[in-house]
Amino acid sequence: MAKKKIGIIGGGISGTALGYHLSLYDGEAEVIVFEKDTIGGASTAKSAGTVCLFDDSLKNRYWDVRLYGFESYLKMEAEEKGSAGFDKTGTLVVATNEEVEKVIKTGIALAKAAGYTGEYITDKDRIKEILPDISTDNILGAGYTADDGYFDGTMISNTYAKKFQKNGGIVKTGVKVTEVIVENKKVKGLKTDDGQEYEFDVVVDCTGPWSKFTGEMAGLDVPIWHTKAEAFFLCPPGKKLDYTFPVLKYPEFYGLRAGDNIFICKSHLSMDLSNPMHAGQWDPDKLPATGGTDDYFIDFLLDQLEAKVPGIVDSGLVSSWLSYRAEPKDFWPILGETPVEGYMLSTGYGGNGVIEAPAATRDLAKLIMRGESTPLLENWAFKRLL
Amino acid sequence: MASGICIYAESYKGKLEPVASELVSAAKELQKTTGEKVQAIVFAEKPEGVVTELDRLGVEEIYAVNAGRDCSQQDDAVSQTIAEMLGRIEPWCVLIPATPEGRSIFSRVAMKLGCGMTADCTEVLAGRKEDGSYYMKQNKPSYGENVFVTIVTRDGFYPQMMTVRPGVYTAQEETAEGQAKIRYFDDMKVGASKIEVIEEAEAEAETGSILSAEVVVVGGRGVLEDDNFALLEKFAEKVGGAIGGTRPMVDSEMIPFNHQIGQTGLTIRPKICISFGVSGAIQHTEGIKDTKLFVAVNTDEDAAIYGVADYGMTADLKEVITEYLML
Amino acid sequence: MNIAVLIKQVPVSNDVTVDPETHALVRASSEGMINPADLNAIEEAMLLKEQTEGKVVVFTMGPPDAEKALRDAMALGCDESCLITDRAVAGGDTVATAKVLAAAIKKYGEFDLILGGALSADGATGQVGAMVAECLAIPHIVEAMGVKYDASESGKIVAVKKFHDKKLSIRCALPAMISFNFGCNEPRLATLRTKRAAKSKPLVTYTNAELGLSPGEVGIEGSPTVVVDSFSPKSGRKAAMLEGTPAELARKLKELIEEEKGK
Repeated sequence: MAKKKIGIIGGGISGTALGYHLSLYDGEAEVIVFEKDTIGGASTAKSAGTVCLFDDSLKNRYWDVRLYGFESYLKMEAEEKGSAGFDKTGTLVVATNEEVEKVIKTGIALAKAAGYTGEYITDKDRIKEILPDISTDNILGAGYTADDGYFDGTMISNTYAKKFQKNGGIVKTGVKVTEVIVENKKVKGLKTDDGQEYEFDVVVDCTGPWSKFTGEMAGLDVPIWHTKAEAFFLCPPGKKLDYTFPVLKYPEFYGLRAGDNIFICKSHLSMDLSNPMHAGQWDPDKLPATGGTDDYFIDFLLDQLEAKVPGIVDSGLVSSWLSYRAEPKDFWPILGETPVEGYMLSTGYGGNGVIEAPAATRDLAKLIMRGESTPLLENWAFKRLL
Repeated sequence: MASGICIYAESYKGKLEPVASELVSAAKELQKTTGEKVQAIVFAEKPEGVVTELDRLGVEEIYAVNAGRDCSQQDDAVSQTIAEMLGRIEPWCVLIPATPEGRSIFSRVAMKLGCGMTADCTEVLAGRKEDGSYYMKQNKPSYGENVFVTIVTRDGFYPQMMTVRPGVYTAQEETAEGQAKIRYFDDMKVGASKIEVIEEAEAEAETGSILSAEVVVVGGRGVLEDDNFALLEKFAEKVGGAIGGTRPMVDSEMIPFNHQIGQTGLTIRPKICISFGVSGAIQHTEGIKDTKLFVAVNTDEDAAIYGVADYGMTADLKEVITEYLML
Repeated sequence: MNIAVLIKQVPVSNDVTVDPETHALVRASSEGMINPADLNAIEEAMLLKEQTEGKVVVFTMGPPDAEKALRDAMALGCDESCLITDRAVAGGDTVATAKVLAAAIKKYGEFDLILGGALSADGATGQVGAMVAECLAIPHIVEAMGVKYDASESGKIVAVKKFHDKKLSIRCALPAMISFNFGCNEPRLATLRTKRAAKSKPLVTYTNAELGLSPGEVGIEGSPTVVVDSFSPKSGRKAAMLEGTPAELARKLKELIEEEKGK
């Protein structure tokens, strides 16, 4: 049987995870990942990598997807320490209203069902024990688990790439795809900036924030837009905290430790989608590696921290960055087939690429290799947006 | 009429600096095109020895001032005298070592003479204008060596001055006997300075802070295995470098967080950086900038770090360091 | 003691390439930041301010958006700021730039010390500080590692500088210009609060005419040197791979390190 030839555009978390999952179909596929820069170096590197058991932002809708991601990375880390960059800090999700409280309690129930610990705490002294710098005024309680934390998206991408290569896959870094060859609404292959031309049966766009431009090469309008994720690295007063700063989630922002520093990022829910400063379509090539936050973020964060985590409000600002969360307007990823035969998408994960990539690309690999769909592929199909 | 290719013969404690000899060979290269004389200016407390050294390098005209005192760091006074010397010599161009002393003195000289100065050239070439006269193409790196620019001094601005980076030209070989025309400007007196050196102590290599260290040795995940970290420490000690590392090393508590390099840590700008077992994920390479020498040692021949390093070695860090320690 | 700090807004990334046809510079990002060594100068200014009374004024020359760098400097504790922005001053070389900065300092007021970073991350000429000192007819010490100020010895300051593997203590009469090496101290960080406060600190803008300089004296026109071409380095920043036995590689490594150290 002839091997299936597959080209993957983009070596971020989605592209490398897909390459790995395809390489598990022992010798049936010939796969090349094309990355114009470095593996896991663009928006994947800017992911906070929080794969928490209590899923606050998605209201637990795809909890199994999250759990699969979490456990995949736990196993990766167990296999080789550091290969997923796991920092087991635990997670504290703060309930500021009853609706949030309900979501947190659901998350706890689901986590327990999967055999993890979790509790909903209303004793404010206990909350302060976990996070001494918090203000417990105006909160109902908080969900806490000690079992999770955050991962490192770049490490994971590189580990997937390594496993994929070990299984015979090819990774081409520093190579930019310049043309997707489509004939009669069917993909034929692609061309790269080093003058090479490749024939493929299937081409998968895993380019996240770039998908709008990648899609144009295949004559597709990929309805991706960007929301801004702005983040600061804070150096706490005294330079080092004497406790483990957990992954901290509020509806408006989230935080986690980064070495002795604290990383704080604006959450999806605090975005004003009708404000062109917050959401729109931008060129990710112009996105600086550091810096780029807008002035309003200072005021926003100062007000938030003064009210919620006053103990760290006088932290030093070490650095800042801005990332684009790429997603369709309904905020779900786009996964699977498109009107161009053989041209597939694995993109639009918003801020959740690290969380969702393992389950999403596992299912996509099955579709590519066996033509079999899954409920996840159906929910996240491109055709819902047409 | 301005004429002559003049070098500033920097000296330290009565000895000619090696870079001066490099400038002589740069000047001789230019001479092949323009045919002008190669000149040198010496400013020192005891210039005689320096003048003799220069003479042996085949310089044709040497102009010297005996400072009469140690003028180290007194660049307010020194620059005045040197500006006067150049006023008398009227060279076409002046090649200056791109060293702390060269930059410091000649920035003032350039301002005094209103003639401009190009910094840190890695190549100087004489070009010919339509009217047959010559101009100097001054090539220098910019943006941390990502770009090179060609700078020229406009017509009517003489001398054309530029600092030249040490180490880019080969040193001029000494000849047995010099034939230079040597002239001391004995009438020139060095003015008073508002600066004085009040203490001179031995400087120690900075290894405590990775920000101020000239040499930084960086370890990645490859260092976590076996006793590799102990080897890395010995290597750092031998080369007089500070140790920086990536997140895995901080997580394993081998190094403190304030030695973590990369997106969440520090950006370092050492002169020399040697990395061992660093793959080169972006969070890390973004943290190392503007190095003059960057050597990466990694077992993976496709490691991304080779995209940013100057030299790569696909080798086991354990073997390379062990051999190094025996040298 | 009143201190002026000269800063430069430089690109966050030196990722710049040259268009092979037009030879124009193509920047990967337009994001700017305070030149790293200038942060060390600001820190020295803050340490001196803690010892003596007086104000710290930060100066920069650049496009209107260089205001961001000045606000950042004021978030670190600088009291006031001055932006020299004018199409006429753009594109100047070190001589033309120093003239403008010196004129702005003179117009702004009396200063005992002018501080700056030793080298910029982009152009890295290291010349402007000493040139400004020359324009102001004051002494200068460049590439210093720190300063010591003793109030009992008024009118003087001592700078510490590494020179030929020696650590020199250099006494200098005030007013003076001193520039600092990157990494010589640990710059303090702004906080959300000081960032917000910096928004309402004073910022004065000068144009070329306000400085009493004619367009012919400044900018490209007033520059004795001009950039006529730009090109990519002969070999891109791709590592040259060295091969050999571990012993050979170790020897090669030693040679490379020693050669670079000697420069």
